[in-house]
Amino acid sequence: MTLIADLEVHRGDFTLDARIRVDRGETLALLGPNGSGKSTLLATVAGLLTPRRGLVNVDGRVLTRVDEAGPTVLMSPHRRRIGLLGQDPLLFPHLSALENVAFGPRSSGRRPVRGAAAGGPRATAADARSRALRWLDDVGLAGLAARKPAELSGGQQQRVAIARALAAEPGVLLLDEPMAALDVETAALIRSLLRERLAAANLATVIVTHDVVDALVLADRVAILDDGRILDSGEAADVLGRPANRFAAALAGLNLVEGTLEAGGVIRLPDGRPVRTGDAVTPMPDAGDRVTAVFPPTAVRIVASPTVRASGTASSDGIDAASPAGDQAVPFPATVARLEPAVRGVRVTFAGDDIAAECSAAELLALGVGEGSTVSLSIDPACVTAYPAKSPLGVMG
Amino acid sequence: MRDGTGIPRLLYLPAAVAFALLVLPIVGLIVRADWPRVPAAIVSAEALSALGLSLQTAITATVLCVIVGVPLALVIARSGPRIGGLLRALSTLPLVMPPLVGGIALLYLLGRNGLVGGVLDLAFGIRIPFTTAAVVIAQSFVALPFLVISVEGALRTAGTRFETVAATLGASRWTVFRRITLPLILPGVVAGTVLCFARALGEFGATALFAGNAAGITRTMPLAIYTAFNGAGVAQDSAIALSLLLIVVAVVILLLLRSWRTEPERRP
Repeated sequence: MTLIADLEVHRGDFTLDARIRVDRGETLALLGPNGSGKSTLLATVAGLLTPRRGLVNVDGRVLTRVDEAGPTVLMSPHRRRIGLLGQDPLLFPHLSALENVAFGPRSSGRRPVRGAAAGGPRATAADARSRALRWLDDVGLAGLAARKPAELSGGQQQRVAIARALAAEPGVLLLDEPMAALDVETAALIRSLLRERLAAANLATVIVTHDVVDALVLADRVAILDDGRILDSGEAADVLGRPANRFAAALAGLNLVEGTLEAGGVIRLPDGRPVRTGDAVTPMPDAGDRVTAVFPPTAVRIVASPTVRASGTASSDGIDAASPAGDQAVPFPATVARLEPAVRGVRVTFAGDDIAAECSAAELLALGVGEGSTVSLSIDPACVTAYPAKSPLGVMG
Repeated sequence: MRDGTGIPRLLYLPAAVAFALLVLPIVGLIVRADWPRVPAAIVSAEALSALGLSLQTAITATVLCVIVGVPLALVIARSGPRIGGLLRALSTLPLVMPPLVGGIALLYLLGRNGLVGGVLDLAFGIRIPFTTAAVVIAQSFVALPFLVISVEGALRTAGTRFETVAATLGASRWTVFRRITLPLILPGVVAGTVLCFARALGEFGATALFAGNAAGITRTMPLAIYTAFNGAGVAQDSAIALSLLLIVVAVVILLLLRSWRTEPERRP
């Protein structure tokens, strides 16, 4: 199964204009902030929304086509063989776990693929139940088959929902933040279960999420969606390790700055601040090309008072003075804007809002730093990765 | 109750008045009844005939209302706010209309000179007014809004999210309706059916005008009670006896429906 969707959807003022392609056995993670159009994209692929223009095609089978060229095609959702799993399991409350899972095989007008072949196009009740029991077993819940959804925990309900979605044997599975409503531990369990089940099912999967862990665990490829457009896509290591923009960098937990490359591995930001990278910039940019540098907040060290006087004016003193070692940080001044709680200590943001630092509360107390303090920042060059800036558009092949 | 959600004491007074208003008349009826004569009154041929006709017409009307009312509720609930609102307002008009007015309206629609009745009479020789069918139509007219409102409310509460999931699992619209929508709104359908039946059983005004008061054909319990009550002093006692019978029948049917409704939920 190869899913190709090329869609333009309008909802009020919002416009989604995106193209995705997912092959059989592949999982694409669609990352984006709230309101970026992720769920709209999924709903349109599932046939729940009508695009203004576009095409949805699975293995050459046209599910949606709206364009000037030909007649409009809008296959109804139940014929699409596209499964949908959201953050709310939405188990049918009047049916037991087993009956929920058996619903797809029992209701769809399709010949069953898995398990004993049924005679007719629709599974018999007994056959649907025995297959449903196997799907429940696959998610580790065969023992709770007779329970009603209200008698299951949130994590168990989501497992049943996974079994139910897979039991309908869709060609394409759409996951809309399936772990968002679960606590961290349960989410991790469900995530590994999904990875295992998706690998076994061998279908084309799109997972929409704003949690980068989902992308790392489940996805073969990652696409960044922002304000209705796909900004970057490709291997997770590339999209998240070498982010195209600050949104992707924020997902990966990185600071991102852009500037031009100077001698000694120094990237000069437009306002003159220097960021030095310890590694060579690959591929080597042409002279004058913009270079992106990313580094984790923990690589940013806060020093009490500015040790470099007004280096914002950017004469070459900082660089040349520091060049003997070549791998030393070049400090520059900054004004503390806000302190926020972070997983390990305190996250400090600075005026200009492009760099964040993370350190322990003890360090901050020792420095006597508060909101509004002027400090000096030095960024460990060993932690800075730099690469030629990616073009914001036209990345999608 | 000391959980901080108590009722202001002042409100107990109007609540007591309301309760008295609802219950005391029935107590009055029971006290006033000439009990030794009650058995004879309720097994009289006239009473049994009226009771039989009442049950027969009310059950028929209720079945008709369920068959056409559930689909109407579905259309209203799934229409957009404008069309849905308009349909809902028009469908519930009989609820706020005096039943007598409904009876007149039915007469002008289905009577011999009516919009549809004239055609029926000329083309097929069918005359509806003053028949048992007219009783069923009159009862359906006044009772249907109760069912529609109740089912539509259940549909709105249930929402469409489960239906969407069912569709993505490959179920056709008809399968979704049968296996998801109907079971989800079943409590609402049962509640609506109970209200609908109770209203049909008690229907008087529209029936009297549209169907008349012919013994054995259109004289249902309410009409029999009215007829008896308008008679001489002895007959008034049988009016009371018939009233008590109607109350008992209604309560028994309500209890039967209740047990039927709660039974499936007890199943493990």
